[in-house]
Amino acid sequence: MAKSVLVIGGGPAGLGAARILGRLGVPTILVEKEDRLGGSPVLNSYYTLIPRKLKPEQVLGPYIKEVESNPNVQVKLKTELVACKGEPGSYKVTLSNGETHEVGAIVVATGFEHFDPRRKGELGYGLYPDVITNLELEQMFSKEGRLYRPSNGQLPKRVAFVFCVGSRDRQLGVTNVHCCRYGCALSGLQAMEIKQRYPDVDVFCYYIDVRTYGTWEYPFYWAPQEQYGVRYIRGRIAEITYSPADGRLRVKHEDTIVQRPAEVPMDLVVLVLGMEPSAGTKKVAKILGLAQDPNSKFLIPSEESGSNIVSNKPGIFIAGACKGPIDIESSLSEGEAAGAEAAVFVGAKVTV
Amino acid sequence: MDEHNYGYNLSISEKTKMVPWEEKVRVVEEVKSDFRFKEYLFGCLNCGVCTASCPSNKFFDFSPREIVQRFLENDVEVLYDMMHEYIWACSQCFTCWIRCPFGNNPGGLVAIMREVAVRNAFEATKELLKPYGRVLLKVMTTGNQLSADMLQPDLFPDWGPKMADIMEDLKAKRLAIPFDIGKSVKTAWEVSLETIIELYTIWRETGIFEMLEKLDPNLYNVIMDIVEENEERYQKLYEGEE
Repeated sequence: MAKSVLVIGGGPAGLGAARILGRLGVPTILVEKEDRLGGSPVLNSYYTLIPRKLKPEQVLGPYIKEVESNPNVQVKLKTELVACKGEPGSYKVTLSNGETHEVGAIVVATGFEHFDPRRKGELGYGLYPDVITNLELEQMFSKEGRLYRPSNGQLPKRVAFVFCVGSRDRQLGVTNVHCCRYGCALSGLQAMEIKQRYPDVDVFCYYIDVRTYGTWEYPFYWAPQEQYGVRYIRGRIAEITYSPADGRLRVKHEDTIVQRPAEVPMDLVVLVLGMEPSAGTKKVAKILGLAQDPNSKFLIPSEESGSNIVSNKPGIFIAGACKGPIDIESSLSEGEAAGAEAAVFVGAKVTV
Repeated sequence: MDEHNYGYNLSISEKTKMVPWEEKVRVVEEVKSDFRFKEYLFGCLNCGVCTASCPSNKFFDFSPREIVQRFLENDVEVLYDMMHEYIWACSQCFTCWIRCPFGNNPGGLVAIMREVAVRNAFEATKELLKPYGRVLLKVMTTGNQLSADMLQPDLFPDWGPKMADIMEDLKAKRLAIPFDIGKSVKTAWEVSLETIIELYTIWRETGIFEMLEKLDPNLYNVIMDIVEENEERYQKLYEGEE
């Protein structure tokens, strides 16, 4: 039986898996299709991560450093899985760089991609420059260090967060009916970050439900309201228009708690993007024959196992956002659990 | 009809209150048993996208979300009351349907409710249809009630001030269009006899004539005179060919 493990994806889940495998002394191959490790938080220049309000380099930096320096882990950048043959315990994998390897187990950590808001035409993304995504807001802070309206470079007076863009929406087909899980909490954090720097900016969150579940409730729902005066208004944004008269946007919604339809002016509108399985996730699912949710196409765990990282194929473990929306620290944990399971599966003699 | 502020201040009209409960249940069940109903109503999170998108909501006391909610609650009293006036404010644009994240069709629910109201000859539908006697007469006897030239801006102030300029010298403008549309301007009224007879067959098979008889017996008589005349004409033509 081959003793090495293949980890597919160099984001939080893949890093979690590769680091624990390296620590346990298991020979590991980590393939990442981009030119550096870190996944979406690093590649997309996230600013601050929920829930612990740390920077991506604080959370993922130590993982990347250790994975890159551990002699048990071979990191292969700009590399993808292209084919897989063989039996559980000795999978023969072919990589896009032409290499073939025999591995005892595989950890799939191929992640997600953000919803493309152009698919919701009524929200005006791509049409009005002051309609931006929450990802672009992250980059405004992380790359430019300031908040501004893309149309004129000025500080906005009124900012709106539009929740559930590309989530919980049957109009986009059955593929986007799930909840993104992170949006409510991240919006609370981003709203506080705006208020901390610019206390005079009015910030509004338009929600259908606020799902800051578990211990996230207090720091990401109550605190924005109580400590920073962020306003939460219940109602999904129906459409966003632009008024040439004052150069501002209009958001149209029904306040479903006081039952009043309204069209209010905004200077900057932030769309809170949903999560979809990445192209890589769909591709790897085909190559490895992994079970997918019929609606969302996210990977689903084995029906026989109570563990959510055990796939339908023996010796293949699934971790992180390839299984559905998830936060970064849970992705790391799932990756670590999947790595440990893979080490057990290949019968590694653990060196601690 | 009385005011209908359904939200918090539930006010059901006196007329609805007088109707026996069983009758109200029967009418609402007739709506719910329509074959389209289960494709028009799923769940609802009260997100308000339908009502925020609704053009009628801007001008009238009308909310598609309220209709969806009343059906989910099976609020027979309010649903029955809505069928008399409330639902007639809907402009049937179906923006609610296009936008609802659940795929509900509030406009479609309104369409079913209207059909049931007409089938049951509700007093309100008689009132509402009164101004449309001429339209009904034309549509039911010829299938067409407008010719292009009848659309004149002074009859439609809601077209706005620029329309008068656009409508000027239509003949020349139509000639400039690189395909022949002159024909349809002239023949809008001249529907072929075969088409008309087909139309009457549809009215008859789908019970439209019966519906009209209940709603407006006078108009029904006028229309049936024309229908019979045309049918006779067709019969003779057909016999002649044989």
